Amino acid sequence: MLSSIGHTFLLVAFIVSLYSVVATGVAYRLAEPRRASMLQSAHRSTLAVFWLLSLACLTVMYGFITNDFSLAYVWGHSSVTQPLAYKISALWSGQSGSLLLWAWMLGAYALAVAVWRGGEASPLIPTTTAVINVVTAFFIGIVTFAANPFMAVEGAVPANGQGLNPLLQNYWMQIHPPTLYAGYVGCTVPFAFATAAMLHRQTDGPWLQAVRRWTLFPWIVLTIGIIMGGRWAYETLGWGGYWAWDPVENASLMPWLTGTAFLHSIMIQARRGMLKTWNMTLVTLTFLLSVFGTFLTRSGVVSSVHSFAESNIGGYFLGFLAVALVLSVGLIVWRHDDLTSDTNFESPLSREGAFLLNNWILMGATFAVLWGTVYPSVSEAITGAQRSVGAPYFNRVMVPLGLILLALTGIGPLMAWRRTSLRSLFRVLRYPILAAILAAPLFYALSMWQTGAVTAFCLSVFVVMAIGGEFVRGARARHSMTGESHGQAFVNLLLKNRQRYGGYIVHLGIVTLFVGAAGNAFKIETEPIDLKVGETMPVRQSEGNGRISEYALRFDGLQEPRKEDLAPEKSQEVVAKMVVLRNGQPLRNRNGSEFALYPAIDTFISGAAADPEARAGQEPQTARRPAVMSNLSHDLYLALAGYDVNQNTASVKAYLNPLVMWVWISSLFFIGGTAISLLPDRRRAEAKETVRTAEQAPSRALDNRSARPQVVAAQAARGAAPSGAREETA
Amino acid sequence: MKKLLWMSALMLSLAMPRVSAQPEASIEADTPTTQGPRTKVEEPRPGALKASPSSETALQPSVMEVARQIVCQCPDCGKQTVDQCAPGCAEGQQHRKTIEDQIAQGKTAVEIVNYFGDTQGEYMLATPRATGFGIAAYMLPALFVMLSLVPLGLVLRSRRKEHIVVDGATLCDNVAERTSTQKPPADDPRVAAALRDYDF
Repeated sequence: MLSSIGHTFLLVAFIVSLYSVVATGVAYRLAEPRRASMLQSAHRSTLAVFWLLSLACLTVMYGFITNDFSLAYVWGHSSVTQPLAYKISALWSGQSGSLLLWAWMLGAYALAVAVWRGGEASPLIPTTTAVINVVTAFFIGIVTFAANPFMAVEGAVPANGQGLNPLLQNYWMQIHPPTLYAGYVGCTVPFAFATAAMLHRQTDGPWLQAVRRWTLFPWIVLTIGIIMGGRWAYETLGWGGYWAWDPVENASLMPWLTGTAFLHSIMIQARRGMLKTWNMTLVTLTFLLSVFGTFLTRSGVVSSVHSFAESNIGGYFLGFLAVALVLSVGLIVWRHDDLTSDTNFESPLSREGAFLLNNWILMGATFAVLWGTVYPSVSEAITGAQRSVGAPYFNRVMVPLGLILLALTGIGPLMAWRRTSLRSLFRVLRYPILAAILAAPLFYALSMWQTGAVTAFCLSVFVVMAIGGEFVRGARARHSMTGESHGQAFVNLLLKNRQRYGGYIVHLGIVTLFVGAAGNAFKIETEPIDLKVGETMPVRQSEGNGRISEYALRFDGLQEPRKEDLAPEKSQEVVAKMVVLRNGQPLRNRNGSEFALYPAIDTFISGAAADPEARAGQEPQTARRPAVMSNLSHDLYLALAGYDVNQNTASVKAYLNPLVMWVWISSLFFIGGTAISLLPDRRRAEAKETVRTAEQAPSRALDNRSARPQVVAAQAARGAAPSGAREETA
Repeated sequence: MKKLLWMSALMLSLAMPRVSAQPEASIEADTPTTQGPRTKVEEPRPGALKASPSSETALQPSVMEVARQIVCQCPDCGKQTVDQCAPGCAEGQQHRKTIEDQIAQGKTAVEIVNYFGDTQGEYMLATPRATGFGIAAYMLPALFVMLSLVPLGLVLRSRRKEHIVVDGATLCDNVAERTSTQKPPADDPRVAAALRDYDF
């Protein structure tokens, strides 16, 4: 019953989405008023697709919540004892469900674009929506005909399901995949705008204004999704790290890199009318890479810790990618005349030059990640020999590129558009450079010498000084111009030019991220150590360069909760109590008790465990639950490697991970900076209104008293936001 | 263009890995440090703490240092390196034991990594050997960076379209850059300047 209902929703959604695309295409061949009528029909179809997909998602969720194991998907990813939260998140725990969620998100984005008024970009909205609907139709088609979550089980309906993969029974499961998907899926929107702009031959103004916001949103969502994934890995997998250059991680990084490049290069087009072809290429590449990531995850062509998501639908994605690539390249070539630059590139020593270098490096990084990811498969296909590409390869290639990018986050904002003289650039950079140079011996004195990491730290000092200087100069200028207090001037500076200063805050997030990542170079880990009750293991021994033993861990025995206290999805939970000592003394809680960490291993009940025959011969599913003590300088991270309940012994592995907290903190900068950039700007709206008024009555424009204050205010805001190195006059 | 070539040379020198016939670990292990060559090999104590290779102070390879170069092939670890595979992974533990044995025999990191590659196959190595098709792993990204200079050069030499100059353009350069195909948003260039500045 549920199977038929859900399948019907999908089938209708597929047909309606195709209709929406065709209706839009036909509409532009009709004259008014039939065109408007047809476009309205396509618009309504877009809304209908969203609601149909919503109903399909709700149907699957209903199946999970009511334990309807007649659906094979529910049977495979849930069980009677599964907590409600995991039953809901089980929707995206497997292949077909996550593709359904993907399609639903595409529908949601299409809906958002369709109902968005669009401002000057409004003529592009129907075509943009149609392009998104093409992609939606593909995903609905996959879900309907190749990976259907409404497939019924064969034979009798089982009494219980197989349960969720233990690794996925984590609260991050409820937010990480949807967030990441929202980022991936959102990459379709700027691509759709770009395609619409080329089709309508409006490759200058309107789409530029629309696309930046529609790119920033998925970009920040993807950023947060990636960081969440790192946090999940850190909390769950027990190897003491958060990024392993796993193919699926790489798949999420690639569109992020190209999206970042696009966000920078689009500014060149907006300011200088350059790089139009390049921008179209970048936005297309970002979209294609987001689909390619799905292909990597789903096809099984590469081995990954995310192998639970593999299936045989990779071929469809490959076909879709090929068609999208050919059509997109064809469109760019077809519209090449519309994509010619308006102005010349004047000097490499300019903001454009810095952005170009940024783009070049980001593209190099993207290719290096792509090549490293697919290399094992390519090697096997060509030579027949299996080869691996692991973290050492990526670290070697990516660290230098990352360091150059880090430097550019500080240099770029201080360069003027068009051209900057070396002298003026040096004038604004001298103090940041000096600070960075002085920082190096300081790090050495702190016994923190590792070439790559210390370079990252010094560059971080440089960038913070450079960007901090921009804030200080801007606030001072406002203070002197307006007489506002320094604090007020700083706040207003942020609010009056949100895109610029929001971007600077994001740059500070990049610095924070690099600081956290560079800390990994000083990571210390123990081998798994077998401990009896009362025995102590040291963490951070002397290594001959000034570092001394700092922590020790005392094993106080294994703890097992009573069966009745266990979470319903678990059959066993073994916890090692590890009292943390620092310099020989136990750390204390606020109540005076000894502070302890509790790394654990959980054993999960498989749904099939209810059936002894199905259970026979199956290994119990286990998952580690590392224990982490975090502070700003380091994490003490413990993983339980093994245990013997009868002997009351445990094997514990400890890591001392410096600066990891800063990786998570960086997300706050990313969110804060992007939010500031995305906030609607009343003054900008007023300025636009002024322009509109001026266009309607050109003869009155110069005398329009209501317009003057806006113009003056705009110029004042511009003047109060100085760029360190002023443009040089030729 | 010269500056670009300079930049590309710098990029290449940074991005291009040191290509040799041996994997990464061998280079580090064979390179004498300021504290002397790696001649001293100590028996690792059970449960002893190991510094990461990046500490640059270790005189002998640690288990983890070598484990970073070896890929665990068990189905659960998703081909992560042995240092990153789950603490309870049986295959990873076996590899660590092998590494410990090799260190006990006085072998260097190079020799141990090569041992894995020779006895179990090159797919055990986290970085492909720079021989045969393995060279492509390193050369292709470098080639890409070099070839991408071509479109970059085209951008720098891009043809400038004819443009109209609006009266009062000195107030804002951007106004003058508007093309003939794009109508200025307002007759007042100062208003146009304000809008442009607000947009980006």
